[in-house]
Amino acid sequence: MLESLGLSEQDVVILATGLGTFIASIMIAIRGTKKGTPTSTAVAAAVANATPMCRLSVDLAPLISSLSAELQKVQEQLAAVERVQERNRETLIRIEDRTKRS
Amino acid sequence: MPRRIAYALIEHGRALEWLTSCVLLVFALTLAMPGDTLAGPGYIGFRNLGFDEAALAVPLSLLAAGRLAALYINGAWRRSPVIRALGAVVGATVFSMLAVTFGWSWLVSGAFTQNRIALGTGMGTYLVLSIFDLLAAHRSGADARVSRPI
Repeated sequence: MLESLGLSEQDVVILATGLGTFIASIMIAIRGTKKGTPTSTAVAAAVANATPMCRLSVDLAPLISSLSAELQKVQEQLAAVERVQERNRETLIRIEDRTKRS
Repeated sequence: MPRRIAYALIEHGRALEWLTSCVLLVFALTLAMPGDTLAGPGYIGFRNLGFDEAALAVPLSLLAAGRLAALYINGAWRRSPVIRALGAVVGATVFSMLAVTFGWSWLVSGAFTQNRIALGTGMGTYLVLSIFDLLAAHRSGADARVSRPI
């Protein structure tokens, strides 16, 4: 059967070794992904990459708090406008009643 | 003691990744140099499988160079552990095939049960490189887990 494929016993053993090692190494890499302990250099690189984001969030904090204060002011102004509108509505109703009586 | 050795290999084993990558690159560059290296008796297995020098040298040199680049940038690019793992997988495969090729005549003549044919140094050397590339695949996989979410 091997001769019909043009393969000698040595070829089959070499191919089987290569294939077996290939599959085993992929399984080992996947196992490393799931359960392996990362090296300290990789962790340090991850921290170094994360640091600019942390720094950015610290820089954004004053801007976010000022925006929050602005939003609070706008909400107060809106409430004042609503109060004025309510008074105007009551005035209009009273004026309408007077026009109907006459 | 075994835990300490395992820790040393895992934690400081990137030097071994540099070593196996360099060996793979030099292997590919040697094949790319003038002259038919695969004509030697140690490479008969590769020749019988239909590989010529260019078919081995080009992909292996690209892979080894990519792996060395991934080791150099040291995780600064988030996919570098994946490239390292891929290089380790292919490196382990190539080295194990080389180990069998170089030790073939010794293996078929009875291995330890005979003393007619001496075992060459190639089998053990490439076997060790293959084992350390398996370890590199594990380590690179673990590093990929840290680098991926960033």
